[in-house]
Amino acid sequence: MDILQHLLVGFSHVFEPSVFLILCLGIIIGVVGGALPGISFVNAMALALPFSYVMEPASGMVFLAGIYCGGVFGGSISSILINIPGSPGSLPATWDGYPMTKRGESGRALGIAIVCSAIGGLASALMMIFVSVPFATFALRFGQPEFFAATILGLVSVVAIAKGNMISSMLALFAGLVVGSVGLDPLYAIPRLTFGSEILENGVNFVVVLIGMFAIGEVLAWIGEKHSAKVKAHHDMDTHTRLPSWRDLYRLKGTIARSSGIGCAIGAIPGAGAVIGAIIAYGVEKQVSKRGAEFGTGVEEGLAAPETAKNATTGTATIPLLTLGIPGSAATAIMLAALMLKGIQPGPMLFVTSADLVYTVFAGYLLANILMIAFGFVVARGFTLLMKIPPAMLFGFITVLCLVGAFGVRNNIADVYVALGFGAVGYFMRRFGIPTAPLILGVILGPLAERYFLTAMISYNNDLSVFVTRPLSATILGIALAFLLWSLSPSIKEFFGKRRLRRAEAVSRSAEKTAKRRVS
Amino acid sequence: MNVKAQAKRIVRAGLCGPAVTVAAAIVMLVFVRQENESALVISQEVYGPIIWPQVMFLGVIVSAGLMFTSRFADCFIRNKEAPAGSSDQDDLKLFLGFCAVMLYGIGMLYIGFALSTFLFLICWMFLGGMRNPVTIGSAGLAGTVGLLFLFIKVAYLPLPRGVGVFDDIHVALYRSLGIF
Repeated sequence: MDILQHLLVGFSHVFEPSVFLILCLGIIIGVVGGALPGISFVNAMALALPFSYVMEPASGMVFLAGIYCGGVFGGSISSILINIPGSPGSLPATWDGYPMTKRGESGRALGIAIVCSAIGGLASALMMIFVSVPFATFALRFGQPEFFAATILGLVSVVAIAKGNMISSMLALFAGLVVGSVGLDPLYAIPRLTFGSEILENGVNFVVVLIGMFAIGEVLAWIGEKHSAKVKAHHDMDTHTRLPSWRDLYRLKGTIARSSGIGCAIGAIPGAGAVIGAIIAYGVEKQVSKRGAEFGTGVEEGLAAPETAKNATTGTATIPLLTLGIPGSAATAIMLAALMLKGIQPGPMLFVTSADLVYTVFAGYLLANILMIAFGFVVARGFTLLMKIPPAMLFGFITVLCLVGAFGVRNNIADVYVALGFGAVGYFMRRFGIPTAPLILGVILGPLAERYFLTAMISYNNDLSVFVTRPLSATILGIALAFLLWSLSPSIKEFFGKRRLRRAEAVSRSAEKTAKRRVS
Repeated sequence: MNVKAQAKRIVRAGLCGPAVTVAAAIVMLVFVRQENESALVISQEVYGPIIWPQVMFLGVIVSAGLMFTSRFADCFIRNKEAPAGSSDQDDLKLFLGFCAVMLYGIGMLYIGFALSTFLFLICWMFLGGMRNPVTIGSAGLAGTVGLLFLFIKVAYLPLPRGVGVFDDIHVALYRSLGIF
């Protein structure tokens, strides 16, 4: 009852005209920023942070929450329409969302993405409201071994998703992990694989790799396409974004429920975030769904799962921030900066000293996920109208936007050249049938995994058994192993089935020969 | 089967890529150990800075090795035909497009963001099949000016202004547009 009373007070603050307008503005900025390849919602939050200084603390936090919720969804618009993820978490949306666009169902795909994102975000916001305090106690049990185990779970999911293309995916993943280790190591600041270059000492930023492999790679693939293919694709585009029907939503209920749970759980782990949540949800759905074998061809479940999961990470990712003062991602780190600048210290006492602020933020998250449906439609509609402009013009501007985005990561022209290099790599990987997503995911998750591994080894005297002797870590690694075996089980069954068949054939042939000899 | 035909078969089976990858990964595995003496010293006591890249290179070697074995078995044991290459690609346009993007990235540093963007947009639209000079010119100009306002005036990005006379041109341009 206490929580509900506080929440009502929070809603009364959010519905004040100035706060409500600021929330709406935040959602629009987030969706647009997330949808523009090369910009990303994290950059949008960073740009908006100075504006939050002049606002009241609650208004500033609601503003940033709006950008966060809108931005996590926004990246899916470009993923679905032009196969270029606007943010890393929207990468899985390209796997089934873009094939739906190629089939002329972009409006339907966007509608599914918007509604599923909103449902996932709402579930996460409710979890945040009712579970924050008990979670704080549980979260304190997470140490470096658990964080390492969580990133391993994410990496395993990448390979588990691959199924038929597992060896290529493994190769791309390990290549990505190698790229992620270029630069100074996270503990000793010793340069690795830098070849004496100061540019490489700064490491390879994953946003730059994402922009290069997806955006530049896509642009090169487009320019290399023969004219007839280009014209056909342009004219078949369905530009009417529409809500999925109640029947569609009912059919997706299992997917939405599972993915909400996965996203909420993963989001609560600091450092895990939307990317891992989306990939694991996609991988689980691929195993569970009756249409799992069709994933990657434009299956609604393949789009709904990662979309639900990634927005389901937003609320629970804020829990460690508010309850422990630990930001779990770049987005929540920006929110922490906003709180600290206002002189507000997050932690368990925040719920006592600034309950109004906390519950205003909670109400803001709930409202943001509802309003996101309307604003998501408007922005998606605007983007689909953009698709009517000549592709040559559109892809030209996309290239400029992406290279500026690469430059803007560290205000360093070297990142532009890295993006161009990975653009060429991405194009050729696509051409030779090697999936690009595992490489990018390796670049994203590799540095995290390495940092957690090395700090765990320092904390536990180089004892590798700590990952299996700590119950939480062992459980997460056990889940990763089970997930891998589960995804391999069809291949294992096929292998043993073929062996049994070959043995049976050999026995039958031998019996025939024996029978013939007897007769003769 | 003669040597030339065998070589063609090996190329079509896609064996060169994995083989080169394995070789390169082995070289890099050795290189990463020798790259930094301090790293080697630390690694003798603890799981240090080179353990992670070494394990990842081992992963690359194993994966590329598996890929090589699988393709070798498909080609020479199961005698499966490798799939024919795609005929949907215009390699000349691809090469020109790639050059345009590369020159844009390099040009940004030397002739500045505004000029390189304008030239790139015009070349790209022409390469993409647009032919109306008025459309190309006006879209290029309006787009460049719009992007300048967005990135420099609003977002305060320190985009390159070029060197020498190009720097002066950019400063004059920004002043005339009210950006500075």
